[in-house]
Amino acid sequence: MGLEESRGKIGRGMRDLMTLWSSTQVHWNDDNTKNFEDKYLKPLEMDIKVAAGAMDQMAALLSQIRRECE
Amino acid sequence: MAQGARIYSTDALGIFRAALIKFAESGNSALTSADSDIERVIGWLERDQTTFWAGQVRKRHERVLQLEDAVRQKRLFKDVDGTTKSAVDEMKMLAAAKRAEDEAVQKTVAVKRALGHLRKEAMMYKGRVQKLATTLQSDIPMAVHSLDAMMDHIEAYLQVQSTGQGINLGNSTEQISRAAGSEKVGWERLRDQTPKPDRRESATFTLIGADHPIHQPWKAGVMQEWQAKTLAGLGIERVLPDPDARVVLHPDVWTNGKIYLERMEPTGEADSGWYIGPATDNPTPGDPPAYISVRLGDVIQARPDFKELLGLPPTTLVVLDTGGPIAMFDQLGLDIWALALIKAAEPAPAAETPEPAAAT
Repeated sequence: MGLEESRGKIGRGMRDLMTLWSSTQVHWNDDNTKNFEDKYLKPLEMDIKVAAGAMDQMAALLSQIRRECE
Repeated sequence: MAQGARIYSTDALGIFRAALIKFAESGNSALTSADSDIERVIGWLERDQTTFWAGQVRKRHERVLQLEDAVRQKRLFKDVDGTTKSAVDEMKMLAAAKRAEDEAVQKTVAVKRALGHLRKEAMMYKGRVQKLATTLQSDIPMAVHSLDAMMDHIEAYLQVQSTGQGINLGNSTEQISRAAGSEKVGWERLRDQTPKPDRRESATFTLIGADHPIHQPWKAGVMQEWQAKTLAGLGIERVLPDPDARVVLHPDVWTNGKIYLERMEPTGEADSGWYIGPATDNPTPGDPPAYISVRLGDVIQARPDFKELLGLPPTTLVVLDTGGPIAMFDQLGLDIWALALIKAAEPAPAAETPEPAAAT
């Protein structure tokens, strides 16, 4: 699995997880839901965004290097 | 003021919990693959392309020298009629060879520059993804434990509610919140209730007759065929102990709607390592119960579905309620039952996407 595929996997995984989280909230919706979301899911989303940006940038660089140096 | 607990299904939490575990696993794997891709390109530049283009510079330079010589030869030696030979073709070939040599020199420079740039960018990249790596490895397991604690308390709350004792909803929320910060969480706390080896060894051996209450219908539900298939889908090697090996039982385990089976390392040849007891958060205080020790074969006769479970390896913990298994933990505390349910729900894997062409 290359970098671009890894980036896609992480992005899709997070999207699916948040979709599932929305449906979980149908069954569980109180102060603890919000606490859990604030404590774990929002930071996770932010980390994913930062990592995805880094992966996009690195994927573009690798592609450019492969093209220029082969 | 805390809002009352509004939880309508712990199943939903269980499914989300399992998805969270799966996401952490696949995220870790994706980050590792991404790192490998970067290292692969660094290695490609360091070893393959540096050597390749250095070799090309040498070869192409030799070709230029050969063609320069050929042009010289044409100009030096005249034809029989005294005219100078045409070197047009050689000049064209020389020009092309010089362009090729220039290209090789430029590639050598480009490889060197790319290597330096990539090493620097790779360090910055690692810094940017490190937070996610830490989150996946540390925070997600904490989130999972937090969900475990909440589910545990919700179950206890629902049980109390169903027995009509009732507890204050606001208090329940606070209890759940407290549980989220607890170190000992979830069903794994049942392991603390399992009798220690000396107590298991001193359990009274009981030969099970046809009229023994163990043969009455157990309140804990029988494992259904789909559940057995789901468990089999995990591919865990199961070795059923000798039918004469002993299983230690809580004296009235069959009267409990929620029970657990834990397999410890056997204390001796005659011990299967299995203990079966009630899954309760609040064991009755006082003297330990009068555990009984029975043949594993007798347990299977009373509960044929246990044949699927009693072959699981030591350290396994299985929790069943009236609907069958609800959790299974391995030695790492991973809920393998949740994983089995996810795996069983997944569609058959599609054909693998071909890997992108190698850089070399």
